[in-house]
Amino acid sequence: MTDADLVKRLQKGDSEAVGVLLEQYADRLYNYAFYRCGDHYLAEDIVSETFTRIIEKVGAYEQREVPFKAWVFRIAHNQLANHLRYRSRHQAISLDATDGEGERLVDPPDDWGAADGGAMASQVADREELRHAILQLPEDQKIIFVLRFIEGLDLEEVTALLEKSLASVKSLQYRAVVNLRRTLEQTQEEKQILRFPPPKKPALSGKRGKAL
Amino acid sequence: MSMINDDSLENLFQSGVALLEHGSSPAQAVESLKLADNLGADLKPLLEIVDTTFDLPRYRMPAAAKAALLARLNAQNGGEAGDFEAPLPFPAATESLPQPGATRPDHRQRWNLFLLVQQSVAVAALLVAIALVIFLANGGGGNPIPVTKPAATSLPSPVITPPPDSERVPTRQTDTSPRVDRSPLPDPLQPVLTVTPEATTTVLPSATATATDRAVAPTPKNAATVPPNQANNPPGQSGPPTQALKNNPNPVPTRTARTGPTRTPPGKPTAEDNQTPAAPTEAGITPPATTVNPAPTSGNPTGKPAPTSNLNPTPTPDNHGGDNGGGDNGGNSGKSTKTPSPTPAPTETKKSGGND
Repeated sequence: MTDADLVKRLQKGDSEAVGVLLEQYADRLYNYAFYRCGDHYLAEDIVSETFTRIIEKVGAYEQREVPFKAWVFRIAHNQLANHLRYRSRHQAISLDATDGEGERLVDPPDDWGAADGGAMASQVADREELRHAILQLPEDQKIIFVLRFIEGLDLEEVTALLEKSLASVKSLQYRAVVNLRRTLEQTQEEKQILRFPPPKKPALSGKRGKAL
Repeated sequence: MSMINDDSLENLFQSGVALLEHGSSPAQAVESLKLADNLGADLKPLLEIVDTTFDLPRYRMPAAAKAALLARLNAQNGGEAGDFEAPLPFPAATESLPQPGATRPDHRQRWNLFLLVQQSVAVAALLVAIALVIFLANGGGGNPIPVTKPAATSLPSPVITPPPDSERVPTRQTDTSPRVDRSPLPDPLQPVLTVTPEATTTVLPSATATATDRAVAPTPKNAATVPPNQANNPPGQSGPPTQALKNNPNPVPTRTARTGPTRTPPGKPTAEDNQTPAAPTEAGITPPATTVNPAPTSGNPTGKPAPTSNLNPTPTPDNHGGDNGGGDNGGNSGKSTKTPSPTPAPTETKKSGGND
């Protein structure tokens, strides 16, 4: 079912269309929200509110304005922006809002069952580092990076969603990747420091030798 | 140079991302772009990051939350499409069906009835309130003259009216001449006073006291002289007949008892006092014996001359006059009696006296 058909059925009040809509977009919106905020529960709330708004507004939606996918993500984007703005103002941190809550409901990667367990473990670690690095990006870069490389929206959809020019979107996605590289390099340096700590001071050994 | 390199690197990055999106690996993308070594070394990590991002885990919404959301959305969607009409499971003749709204009670009539009742109740309450106000304004069913009913002993019984046949009774005189006050009390009153001997006796010493203290006590008044005093009394002083009257076998309702016992403290002239001339004062000192009898009632609203002077040894000079009623004097006498009074009546009479 195409988005156009889905929209028509939704506008007619077809209950099955609601199920189709949920099946097509619930996980994507949830994934997008989670990569944006790093909070599973907030992601659930965002998805719920987004679909509620979709059902409310779908009657006024016109296909010619914005692609339906971009329209849906725009609603989610706005909901997220409201939530994040509220959170930044009130500085309320949920006890459940943890970045490293675990790979709950994660789709296993294709090479999850690879024979080389060590390589896979390193890949998982790298992915976790990357996920943390993404969360540290500036908001404008993070939005475009997630939409482009995690949700797979093309440039036109992103420009329509965010109402930005194509050049600015390209520039933002490039800067996002550069920032990620910088962050990951810093993380690697910290890891090296932890793996190979500086040698102990010889003075201590000398004193200990003398004492002995 | 660095700016140029950055711009070219960004363009190469966009090209490399396009290749990655088509399924190429970072190494293949760099090779296909045929980059120089330095540019390839800078671009390859960026493309690897993008390639790794493609492999990042995708998070799914919990199934329970999704089901709950679906149920809620269906309810919401069904609620919005509220025009849904289910067919009847049986054939029905539309003629036999009542018209929409036919069975609905007419809420408007009920509402109007409610308003009517409410308004009528409000109007009735208003009328009752107005009537009550008028009633109270007119004296509330007779002056409440709470003029404390003087005790039987304290009753300035003499206040009691003169016999109806007395000539003075019907007329209310406004003459305030002191001569009138000095006039001895009329004889006809004496029998009345004798009716309540206690009161008379009690009043007597008080009157003398006032006379001695302030030389105020009036001379025994004649019944004829009394009326002027009455005229001086403001109408407000008129009160119900005292209890003494009840005991009095000759129940002439005079209200002198009210005015009689009251006496403003010396030096505090009341309005009543001001109204009356001070003339009658000193000369009016009357011997106690004489004062016993007369009690010129000043507050007699009926205009009947009530000889009270004795019982309410009225016009003390302090009071500026007059007789204002014997009541004043009576009160005064009660206070200031130097001669022992057999009964505490004067004080009581003072209480009962009335400022009413």
